[in-house]
Amino acid sequence: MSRPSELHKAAATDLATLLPITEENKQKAFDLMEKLGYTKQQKEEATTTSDDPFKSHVGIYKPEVKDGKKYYHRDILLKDRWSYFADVQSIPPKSDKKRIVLLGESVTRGFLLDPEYTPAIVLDQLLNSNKDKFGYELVDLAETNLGMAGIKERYTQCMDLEPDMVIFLAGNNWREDLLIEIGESQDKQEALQERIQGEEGIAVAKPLIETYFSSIVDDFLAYVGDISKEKNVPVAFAIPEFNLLDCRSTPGERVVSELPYEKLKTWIEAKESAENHLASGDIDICISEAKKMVEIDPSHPYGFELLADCSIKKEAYKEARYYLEMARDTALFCRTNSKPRTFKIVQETILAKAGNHGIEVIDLPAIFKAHLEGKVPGRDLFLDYCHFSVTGIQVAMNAVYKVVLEQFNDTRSLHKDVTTIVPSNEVLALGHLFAAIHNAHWGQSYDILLHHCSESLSKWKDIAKTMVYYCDMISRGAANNVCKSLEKILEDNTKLDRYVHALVPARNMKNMELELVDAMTTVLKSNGVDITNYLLKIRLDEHNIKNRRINLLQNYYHATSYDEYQGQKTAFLQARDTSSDFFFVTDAKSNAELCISLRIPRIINENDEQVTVCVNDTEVTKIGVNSKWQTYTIKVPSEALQNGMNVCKIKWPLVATTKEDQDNNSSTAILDAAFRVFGEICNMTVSGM
Amino acid sequence: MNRNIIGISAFYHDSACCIIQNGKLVAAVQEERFSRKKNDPDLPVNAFMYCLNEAGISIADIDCIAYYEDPVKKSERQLWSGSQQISADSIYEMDPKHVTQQIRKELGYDGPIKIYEHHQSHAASSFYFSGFDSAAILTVDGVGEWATTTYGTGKNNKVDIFEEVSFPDSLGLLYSTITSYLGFKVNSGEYKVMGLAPYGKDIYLEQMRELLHLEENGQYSLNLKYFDFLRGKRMYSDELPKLFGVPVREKDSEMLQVHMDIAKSLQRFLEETMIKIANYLHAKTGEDNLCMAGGVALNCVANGKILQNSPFKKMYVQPAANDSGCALGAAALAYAELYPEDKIEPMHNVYLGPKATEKEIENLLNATSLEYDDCRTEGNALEKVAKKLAEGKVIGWYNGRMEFGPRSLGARSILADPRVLDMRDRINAMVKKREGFRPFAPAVLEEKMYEHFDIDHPSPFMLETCQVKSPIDMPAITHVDNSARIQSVNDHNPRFQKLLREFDKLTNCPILLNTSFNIKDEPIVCTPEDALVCFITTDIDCLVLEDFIIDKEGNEITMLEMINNNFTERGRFELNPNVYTFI
Repeated sequence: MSRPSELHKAAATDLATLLPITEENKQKAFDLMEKLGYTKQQKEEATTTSDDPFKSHVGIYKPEVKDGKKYYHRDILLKDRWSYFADVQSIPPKSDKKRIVLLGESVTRGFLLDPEYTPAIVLDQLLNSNKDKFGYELVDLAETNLGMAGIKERYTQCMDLEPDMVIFLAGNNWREDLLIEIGESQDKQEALQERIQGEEGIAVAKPLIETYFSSIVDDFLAYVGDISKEKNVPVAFAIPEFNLLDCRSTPGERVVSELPYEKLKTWIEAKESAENHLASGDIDICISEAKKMVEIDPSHPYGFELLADCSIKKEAYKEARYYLEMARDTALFCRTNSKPRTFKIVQETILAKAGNHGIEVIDLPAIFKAHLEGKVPGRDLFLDYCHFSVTGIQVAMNAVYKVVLEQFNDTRSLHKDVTTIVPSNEVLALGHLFAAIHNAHWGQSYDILLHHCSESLSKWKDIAKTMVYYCDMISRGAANNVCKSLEKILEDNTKLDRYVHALVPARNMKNMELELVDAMTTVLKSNGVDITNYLLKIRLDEHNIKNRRINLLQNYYHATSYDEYQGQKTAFLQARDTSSDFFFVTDAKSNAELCISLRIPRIINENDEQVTVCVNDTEVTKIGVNSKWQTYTIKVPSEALQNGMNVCKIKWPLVATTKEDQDNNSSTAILDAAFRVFGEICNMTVSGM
Repeated sequence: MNRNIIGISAFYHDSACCIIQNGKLVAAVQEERFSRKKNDPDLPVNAFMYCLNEAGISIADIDCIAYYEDPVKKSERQLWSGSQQISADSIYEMDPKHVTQQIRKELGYDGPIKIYEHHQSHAASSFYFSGFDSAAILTVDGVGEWATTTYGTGKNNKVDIFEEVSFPDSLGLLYSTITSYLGFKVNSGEYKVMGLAPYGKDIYLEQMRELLHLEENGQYSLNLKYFDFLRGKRMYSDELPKLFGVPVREKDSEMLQVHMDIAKSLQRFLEETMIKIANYLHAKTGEDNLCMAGGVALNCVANGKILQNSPFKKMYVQPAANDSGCALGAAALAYAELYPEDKIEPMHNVYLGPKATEKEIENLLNATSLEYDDCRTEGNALEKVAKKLAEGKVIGWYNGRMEFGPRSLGARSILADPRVLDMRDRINAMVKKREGFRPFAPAVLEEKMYEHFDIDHPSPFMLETCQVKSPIDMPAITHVDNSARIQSVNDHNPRFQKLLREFDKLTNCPILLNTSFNIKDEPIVCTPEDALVCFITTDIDCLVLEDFIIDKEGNEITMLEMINNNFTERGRFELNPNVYTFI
C-alpha cells in the first residue's frame, strides 16, 4: 500500500466541500475526482471466486453417486433451510417413470397445511391412480419465500434431475424482484420521482411501475423458455390467484397519500360518508362517495374495497372482481411490506407472453372463476392472502393434472376424484388455527379470524387447549419465546415445526392481537370454555396502569398488525391516518393520567389547530397542536374508563402543510414524499393513581 | 429551567447516545444493547428515546444535540485516501449533510446541532468527566476524521488539542492489522491479542519497529508497505507475513507459540510507544494528570505501564474510551460551550443505562415455566447468591442500571468464585465460547483490594492491570504473567459491594470473577428478558434478577432451550471482520 499524495489533500478538501454534488458544481467535482484518480470507468478488481461447495446441489439436496447412480440427499449443512422445502429426505435416481418437477414458492408448498397435505401430494395421487400406461414420479422442489431470482436458479439446477416436464406455480413473491430492479437503477428511480412531482400523487406512477414489472416478467419467461428449448423439457406455468374477497388492505396498506389540501379534505369526507352509508344500507350513495375516493386517489385500496363491497351486495361479481383486483394491486405503491400476491400486470404478461417462449399456461384465476361460477374467490379457496385451502389445492392441482396428461398423451379413461384426497381433521384444525393467527398478524378483519377459529375448533376439539394457551401467551408482556404457554403449545402439538416462527414474533413486534383473542374467546365460549375472566386477570396483573407509567408508544400498546410503513423509520410515532389508537388496561377504580408530546410537522399557517383525545369513544379533551412539540398532561376521569381493556384515540385535524424536504440520499425519499403524516407523537404515557 | 444536551456518536461503529442535564450525565447507552446488533452503527434512535425518558423530558426540551465527528472533514480524508471502497458513483452519493438531516428526520429534532471533531470528542469525554481541574490529554484510536492520535490539554473548562498524528499513520490501525494477521476480528479481536501476549516472548520487537517509526514532536509513521487497509479488503499486505516469516493465521486455527510471540511483541511495542508519546505529552504540558481516551486507551496493560513509566501522577481513562464514549465528549463540549460557567460533574460510575422494576421482573418470571425464589420479603438474596458462588456456581447477575461502555462492572455480569481451579475453562465452555487463553477479570472490594493486588489506587472501571499478590490462589482471574485486570468495587454499586462482602464473609475472599453477561458475538444483555434468554441458552447455573433467583437445577428447560436456540433471531449482524470501518 502506498501513501496517498500530500498534493492531493487540497483536492480532497475542495471536493469534500462540494458535496453533495449538484448540477451546478458537477464539472468542478468531476475535475477534482479525476485529479484524485476517481473516474467513472474504474475497473472492478478481479475477484477470486472461491469454490462454491453447493454448486452441484439442487436446492437443499446434495448429489451422491452410488453404484453408478446419482442420488440426492438433504445436505445437513443446509439444515436451517430444510423446513422451507418438502419434507422429503432424498430424491432417487431417475427411473423409467415420467419425472415431473414442481417448482414454486409457499403456495406450491401448501403453506399452513404443509407437510401433511401439499399440492405435490395431491398431484402425485392423481397421476399415479388409475394409470394405464406409465407411472409418474413427482419431485417437489417448491421452496417457501422463493423469489424470481431464486426460482430461476432452482429451475436451472433441476435440469440435473433429468425431468420430463417442469411445472411452475409461482409469482407471488415477485414484487421484491421489482423493487430490487428499481433500487439498482438510478434512471428508473429518477423517472418515478419525476412522475410523482405533480399534484396527482403517487398513483400516476402506476403505468411506469407496471412497465418495469412486465419487462422483468417477460425476461423471466424468456429465460425459462430458452432453457426449456435447449434441454427439450416442456414447461407449464400455473398463474397464481389472490384471495380477492377475504384478504383486504391492512392498516399499513391504508396509509393516506400526500395530496393537495382540498383533494385530501374531499377524500376524507368521501371516505367517512361512504362508510356511514354502507353501514346504513345506502349502497348507491356509498358507491358515489367511494368513486370520488378512487378518482382522487387511485393508489389507495380502500375506495376500491368499498366499491367491491357494494358490488357484492348487488351481486355484480364482475365489477366486484375488478375493484378487488385494483385494491390488491395498490400494493405496487409499497406503502408497507405487503404480503405476497400476484398482480394483474404479472398475470397478463404471462398470459400474453408465455406462449411466445414455448411455455404452456395454466390460468388458475380463470379456473377458480369457473369453479365458483363467476363469483369472486375468497375463504373457500384460500386460507390467507395467497395460500390455498384444501379446496383451492384440489382445484388447482386438478387443472395441472389435466395439462400433464395432455403433455404425455395419457388418455386414461378413469380419474381419481380429487375431492377424495383430503387431510386429517387434526391437520385441518391446525391449518385453520394458523390461518387465523397469520391473518391476524397481517391485519385482517375479525370476521375472517372468527371464521378460521370456528373452522379449526369444529374440525378437532383438542385444539381448544392450544387456543387457550395462545390467548394466555399473547396477553402477557413477556416475549413469547420465554412463555410457559408457548412450551405447552409445542408440547401438545408435535406437527408445528414449520409454523413455530408464527408464534415467535421478531423482537419488540409483539402486540395484543385483541381481535384474534376476542375471536378465540368467542369460539371457545360457544364450545363451553369461558376464559373471559381468566384473561382479564392476566391483563390486569400484567398491564394495569395502577401505580405505574406505561409507555403507549411501545409496539405492544398500539400496533394491531405486523405490517410496517416502508419509508423512513423514526424514533417517534408518525400518524399516517386520521386517527391513532392506543390500548391500555386498568381496573377503572381511579382516574388515569395521560401525558402526551405531539406536533403536526410543516404546518403552513399556524392557527389554533386542535387534536381530540377520546377514551373509549368518549371525548376527554381537545388540545392545541402546532408544528413545534408540545406536551400535555390530561386527567382521564375514572367514569370514562372501563375495567380491562381501554382504547385511547387521538383524532388528528386536517391541516395544510408543506411537502417534506427531499433528502436525495435517502432510499425512502419517494415514499416519504408520497404519503401523508397527520401528526407525530414523541412521548405518550398513561398512569393510574 | 433545565439544561439538556444530547450527545450522539453514530454511522461508524458503536453508536451511542447520552444526555447531560444540568451538568450531570444522567443517561448513556449504546444502541446495540437495544437493537441487539453487535457494534450497531445506525443512528441510536432507541438510545435517544431512552435518554429522554430517563431525563424526564421530551424532544422539545432539548437545548442542543452534539454530534461527535465532522462529516465534511471525514469525507476529505476518505476522498484523499483513494480507498478502493470509494468509486466515482459512491462519491455522487456522498453527502456530509446527511448526518444532520438524519438527526432531524429520524429523531424529530429541529433545534441547534453542534458538530465536534472525533478526537476532540474523545479528549472531552475523558477530561470533562475526570474530575481534574487541569490535565494533559492523550487520545489514540484507529482514525477519526484525519487524526489518529492527538495531544492536548484540558483546563479552565476547555479542551485544546495542540498536536496530532494524521491518517494513515495510526497506532490503532497497527494494532488492528496485527490482530487481523493473527486471525482475529478487527474492531473486536484486539482484546484477544492483549490477552494472548503474556503467553509469548517479545522476540519480534525489531520487526515491530520496522512497522512504525517514532519521530519528533509525538509524531510517528507507519511503513505502509506492510499494510493494505486502504483497499478496504484486508488490513495487511503480503509483505507482513514475510517480515515475520510466519504465514497469516487462519481464523480458529491452532494457536502456535509464534502467534503468542507476535502478540507479546506487539503489546510490548505498543507500551513502549505509548510511554514515549506520553512522556512527550508531559514534557509539552507539564501537567500531573493524564486523561486518555480512544480505542487504544482500552488497552489496560499499556495504561498501567504508562502510569508507572511516565512522570504523570494520576491517570483517568474514560470507561467508554471507544467511539461510543465520543457521545459523552460531544455532549460535554456543547455543554461547556453553551454554559461556560457551569461545571460538568465527574463520572463516578458507569451505571447510566436502563433498569427493570420488580414488577416487570415478577411478571416476566410468572409468564415462564421456571420456578424461582422471590427474596423480596426476607431480603436475603445476596446471602443466598454468595452461598451459591461459594459452592462453585456460575451466576448470571442482573443488577440495577446497565453499564455504559464495553465492560461489565457488576450490573450485567457473569460472576463466579475465582479460586476454583477449572472455573475459567468452565465459563468459557458454558457461556462465552471463547478462546481458553483469555483470562477473566476480578472484581474486588475496594477496602480490601490492596491486600490482594499490587496497585496503589482504586480501579473502578477495569481499565488497568496489576500484579496479583494475594495469599489466595485465584487461577480463574490470574493471568499467566501473574497479572489481573481489576475492578475495585465501592458504594457506587452498593448491591454488588454487599454481595462481595457476603462472599468474603463465607470464604475470606473479597474477590469475584466478573465477566460480561453475553454470549460470544452478541451484545451484553440489556433487559431481564435478554438475561433470561442468555441463561436458558447457556450452562449458567443460576440467574439473579435483582431479588429473584432462578436455578437451573430443579427447572426443566429443554423446551425453552430448543425454542430460544432455534426460533429467535440472534446475532445475525456483524461489521466487516477483516478491515477497520473506514467508510
